[in-house]
Amino acid sequence: MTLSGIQPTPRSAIVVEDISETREWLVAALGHAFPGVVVTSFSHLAPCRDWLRTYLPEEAAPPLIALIDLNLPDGSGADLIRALASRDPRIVSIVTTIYDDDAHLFEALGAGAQGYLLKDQDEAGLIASLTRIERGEPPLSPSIARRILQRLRTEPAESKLDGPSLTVRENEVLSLLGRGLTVGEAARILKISDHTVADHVKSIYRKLNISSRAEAAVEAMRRGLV
Amino acid sequence: MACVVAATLAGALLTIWIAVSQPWLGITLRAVDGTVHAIAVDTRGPSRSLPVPARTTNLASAGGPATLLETDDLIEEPDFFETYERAAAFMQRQTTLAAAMRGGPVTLGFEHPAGVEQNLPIVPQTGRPILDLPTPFWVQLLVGIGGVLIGGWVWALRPQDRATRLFALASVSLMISAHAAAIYSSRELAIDGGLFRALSALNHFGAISFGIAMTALFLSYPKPIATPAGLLAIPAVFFPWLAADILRIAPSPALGSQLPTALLMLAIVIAIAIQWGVTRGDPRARAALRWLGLSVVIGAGAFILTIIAPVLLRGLPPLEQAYAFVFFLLIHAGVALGLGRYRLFDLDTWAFRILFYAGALALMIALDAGLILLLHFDHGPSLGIALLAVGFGYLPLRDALWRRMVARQTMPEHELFNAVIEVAFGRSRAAREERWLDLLKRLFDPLEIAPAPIPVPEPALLRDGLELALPATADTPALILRHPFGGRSLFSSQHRQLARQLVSLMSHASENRAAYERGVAEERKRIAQDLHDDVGARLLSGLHGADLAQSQGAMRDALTDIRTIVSGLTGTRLPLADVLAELRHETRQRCQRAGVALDWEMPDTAAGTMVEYPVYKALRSTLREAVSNVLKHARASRIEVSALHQDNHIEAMIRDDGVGLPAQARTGGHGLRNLHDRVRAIGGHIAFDTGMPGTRITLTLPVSAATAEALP
Repeated sequence: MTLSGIQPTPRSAIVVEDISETREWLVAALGHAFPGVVVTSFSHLAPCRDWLRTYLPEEAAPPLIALIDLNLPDGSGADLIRALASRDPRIVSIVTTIYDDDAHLFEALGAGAQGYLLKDQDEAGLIASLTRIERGEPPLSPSIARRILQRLRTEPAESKLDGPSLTVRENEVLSLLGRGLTVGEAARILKISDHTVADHVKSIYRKLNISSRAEAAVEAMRRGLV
Repeated sequence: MACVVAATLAGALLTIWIAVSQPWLGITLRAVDGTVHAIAVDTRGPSRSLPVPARTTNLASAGGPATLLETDDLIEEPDFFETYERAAAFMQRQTTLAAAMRGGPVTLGFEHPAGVEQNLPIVPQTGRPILDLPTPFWVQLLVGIGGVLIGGWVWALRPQDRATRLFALASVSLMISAHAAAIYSSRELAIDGGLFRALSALNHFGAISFGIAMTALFLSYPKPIATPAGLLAIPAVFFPWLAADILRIAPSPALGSQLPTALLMLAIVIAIAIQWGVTRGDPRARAALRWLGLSVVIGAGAFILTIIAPVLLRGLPPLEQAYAFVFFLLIHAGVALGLGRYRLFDLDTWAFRILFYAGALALMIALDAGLILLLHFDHGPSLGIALLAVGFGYLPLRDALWRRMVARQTMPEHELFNAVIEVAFGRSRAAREERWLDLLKRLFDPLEIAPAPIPVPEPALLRDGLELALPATADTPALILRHPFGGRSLFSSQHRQLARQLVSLMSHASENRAAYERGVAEERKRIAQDLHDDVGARLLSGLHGADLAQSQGAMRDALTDIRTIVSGLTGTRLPLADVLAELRHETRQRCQRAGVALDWEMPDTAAGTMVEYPVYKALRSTLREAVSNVLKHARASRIEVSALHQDNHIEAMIRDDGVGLPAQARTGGHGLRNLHDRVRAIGGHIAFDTGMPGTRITLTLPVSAATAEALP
């Protein structure tokens, strides 16, 4: 966690999106949200991977923000998110998609996405969300919050043993956000600061990611893959 | 059949009448150590004062000469004399003794236990009480009756059939033979020699006729292997032979009566062997033959075990010969089942059981006899050991063989289930039909599968198990399966049971698939309708709108609609609390971006309430539209929203502190007019108040859409 809870302004960003108009729109939104950002965009996963190998050396400090579509012509964006997350947890991967179902949502969160944005919102809404992410406040819509809560409730107990479970506070934050309250409102009700609520939200994202990985590992062992 | 029963009863009554018309002493006589002994007397009979047991020596008519009693006088069956002369002498003695008894008072000479010879005058009763007739009499009588009834039943089934006629003939012959023997073999001491000879001749006639009829039967059934003319050759040989025996012109009783009987039995066995060869490739005929063969094996085997084996082994008491007739009845019953084609399809199972139980019995007796004769065990322990040995060794073996031989050709249940599912969920009708036929071939290996000419309500065995009819299932019409297992055997009840299980599983699986397909079709219809109604309308308004921002809004709404349609929410009910949370969140973000404050308290009135999708849509559109108007036109600094659930209605209010609604917007504005219509369509109400300051919109919506056309 950074001292102030605010991440440094990203110097560069990537967009992986196969529809060219949408790609341009996303690039423009990034420009508005983070003036001066250098955006590289791709229509496919493969050239994006090549580019990452070539232009993003291991050591380079990567204040990188990545907007990644899930369904791409040559594969799933979740794989790229997973690769980026394992490479450096500071890379902020954000899903930009038109899918709003549990399967896509949890696949992306499990892979390590730190935001899940719908592409059909208006530009102002998108820019606002991006800015908040950059300020360290990952978006958590009421429906996503509710679905996370529900999933944690219905998850089989044995997979919870390996993955970290949520703290009482995190549960409270999720419930409040799920009821449609903002981060600020939730903070006032819980009598904590906005930043603390935002940290809880980030922690929830991380845990979902870890929990998903633990699940995958358990599953792999069960199937004798490891 | 009534005639058969009447004739049988008449024959039986005649037999009983002859038996009870004989004079009666009321003494039970037995041969003991070469002399004749009275072992019991009837306490109400004419000889009740005779002390028993006592050796009886002679019988004399009043004033006549005494006839010494010999053990030969007591023999049941006079066929076993070595010469006709001895047989004639026996008959003569019978005549003398019978005449003495019929003539009035007689004197019975006996030896008192103390060793003193005494004479007892007895007045024989003129008729024998019917209850005094011994068990062997009744056994033979019943064998005769049973045989004729069985024969009559089979004959009534197929009166024109040569085989059933021959069998009926054999049955009558059996009755003649048994009833004649019943009279003379259960006589008290003597019957008139003339009657005796006639009865004996009848007995021989019956036995030979039975043999002839059975031989002819086995030469005609299941397959005719001799012409009718050829069959006539049998009586042509044996009836003169019989006559020679009755007239005592044959060289000896052995050659005159026992040899032809044995020859006929041999002929039956040979005929069965030929039939076995001829019926190869005809499982139905084979099955019928198996009933026949089985019964002969069992009957003859039992006869040998109980009559001949004891004679050979000498360790066990031989069965009274009268009881041997029971085995003939057994053969008779078996042949009847074969002829009547009774459950031919189950024969394998039955044959196996019967043979194995018979085998166990034979093994036990052999073990028992072996232990007694070779190892000199006592009866008790040897029987116990034999029982144990059979119980521990033989029965498990029987079970193992059972599983191998009879219980084969079945599929484990889970495999069956998988196979049925595979059939039921075949992609096309053709695929399902093909898989169903494949499964049937795998299970039953029939030589032929044909469409059934008539409707089949449930699996049924036809033509004695040669065919199995299956009802229409798995998109396949009703079928007839013929010649199962490569034509080597018949369908059994087990197979019918398997077919029932199969068809029942299949219909369940098919129902499920049909339900699934119905669901898919309904879902497709719903999605198509929703796409046209919602997305289509949005896209059209985007297409025809002059304003780019408005078009973009329409597109966005279209995408939202697609998501909702795909998620399957359009036909469902949503929690009001979740709906309000989502709307509040969205409104909050919009207000935040526009720099307008939002007051939206969320009291818990919505908890647990579900709203229908059209209601949710109306609420969402109204709120979005209202907030858009405020943000665009009202120049407001604050928006106040409340949404409460009251009395099955949603009461919503949106108020701003802006400049108020232009009059023209209130009356004719596109957006507001649409809102009006949409809300009214689901039975809701919307009102606009303007001024003092800003605008207030009040909205009342039912939790359930009121009108049918508003429902998806």
